[in-house]
Amino acid sequence: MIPLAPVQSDEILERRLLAEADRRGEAVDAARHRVLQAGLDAEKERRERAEQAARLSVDVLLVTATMTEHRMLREVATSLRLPFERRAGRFCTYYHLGMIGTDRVASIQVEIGAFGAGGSASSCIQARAETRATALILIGTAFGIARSEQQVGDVLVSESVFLYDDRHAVDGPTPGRFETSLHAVGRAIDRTTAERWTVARKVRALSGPGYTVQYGPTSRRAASGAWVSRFRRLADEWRRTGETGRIIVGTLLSGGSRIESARFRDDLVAAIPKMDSPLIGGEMEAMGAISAANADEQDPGWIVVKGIADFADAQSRAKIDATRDLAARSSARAVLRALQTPASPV
Amino acid sequence: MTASNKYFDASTDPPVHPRIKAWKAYRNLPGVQRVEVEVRRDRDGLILLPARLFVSFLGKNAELIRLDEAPWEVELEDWLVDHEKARAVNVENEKLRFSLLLKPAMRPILTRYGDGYFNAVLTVVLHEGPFSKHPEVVDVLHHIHEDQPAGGSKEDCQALIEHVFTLFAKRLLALYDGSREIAVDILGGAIARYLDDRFSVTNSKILGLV
Repeated sequence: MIPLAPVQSDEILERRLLAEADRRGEAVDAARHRVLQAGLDAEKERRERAEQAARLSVDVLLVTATMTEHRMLREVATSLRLPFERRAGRFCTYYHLGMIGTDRVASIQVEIGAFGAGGSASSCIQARAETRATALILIGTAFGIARSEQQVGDVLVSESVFLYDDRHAVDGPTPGRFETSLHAVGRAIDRTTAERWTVARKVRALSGPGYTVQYGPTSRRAASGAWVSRFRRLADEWRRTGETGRIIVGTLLSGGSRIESARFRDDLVAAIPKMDSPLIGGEMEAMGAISAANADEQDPGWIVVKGIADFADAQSRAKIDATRDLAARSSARAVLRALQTPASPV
Repeated sequence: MTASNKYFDASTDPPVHPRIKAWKAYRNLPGVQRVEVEVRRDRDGLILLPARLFVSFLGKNAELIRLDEAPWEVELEDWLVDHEKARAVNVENEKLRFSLLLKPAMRPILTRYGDGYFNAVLTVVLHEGPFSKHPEVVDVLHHIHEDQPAGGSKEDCQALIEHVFTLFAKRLLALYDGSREIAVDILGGAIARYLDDRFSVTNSKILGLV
């Protein structure tokens, strides 16, 4: 293939064209036509890519993970007379909500969880590259952790996210005689019974887990300070005006576990070190979306804004069908409302 | 009542960053003539890893007397640039270094005006300003598609962005002994890298989108 650019001079190009035609055993006019066509095709492709990039460009990307979250966003957008126009991209399908306040906004739907081909990590990186978005807002549903203080439909806003899978498990202190004996009994059960592991583990559990979990400084990631301020102002406004719904700002847990156990949830919360920002709930996608953050640690260009759908226990998960819509709707309503308000108080 | 109160009597100089304290000591090591900086920010596929600073304390013949490494921090860089006049190992690295410094400098403007408005005004400033012909800026701007800023705050936002560029121009002139040509090239390259990070341009190239 004859390189089309950079063209050094017509004479050089002509000489290379003749050489290429000769090598291929092709008539010079045919070679000229082929090269011209290739140039036109390349230019057409370049122009089409530029048009596609311009058509998909936005400032803010809203990220949903379930069909309910996507549906509720569309419902709230429609109620606010915003468009919800489907546009196909190379990696994702985008739903453009047009200009909200001073931001061009679109949404994408990713698979539940962080990893996998359609998970939040790869999808958010690809979508950011394709739309040139400079802010990601993860919306939808989350779990609360304090049933006495929170209720279904409250909106949780991440001041930071705590990646609970980013942990270091180390052996605990040397076990005493009692613990050693229990472990020996556990091992004996392993050797002599058909029901391995389960009974042995129960016996060993009597002496405690035998390890401790440690979290390092990288486990906690700060969300965009600018967006946190914007949602704090919205929270104040809702409190002042008596708006239905409540916005709670704090730290959200993010990890790969689908939690339907109060004991697991409580153990998880108990293992998190004390922080200046209160722990308010948890979800599963932020862990991946953080990979798509820009490299500015102070303002990484992402935030999580999710409604409480359950409390990560069997009791509330049993009612999830009744609570999911409310939670997703609350989240979408808060986000679209925040986008409509100025970035900072004038 | 005029009882003693340390907050009213003490000096207002801020405490010195521990790393700067150490660097001041290294600067005074026998034979150290100058300080040189290298910023490393590796890319792992589509993800940029956190930047790190490598600070070399060099002798008269550029021999290495002491090397120190630290996570990149604006406070450290401010000291190195403005107090120590420590240049980067080469122009390309200087561009990366100043692109990182642009982020905290632009952040208050971004916070005040929001992503969409800031993005729109920033691209207008660059399209209409003196960097509109800088090859690296031109190359990146070509891949960014912003609408015209809507609303009446454009002049205010523009003035703040241009003020940041002016401050950076002065810092670079001071760092490069008034060499305007080098300063212009570095600032243009830094702006291009800042835009690239902000608008994920390299990632879109890696993914074959442009």
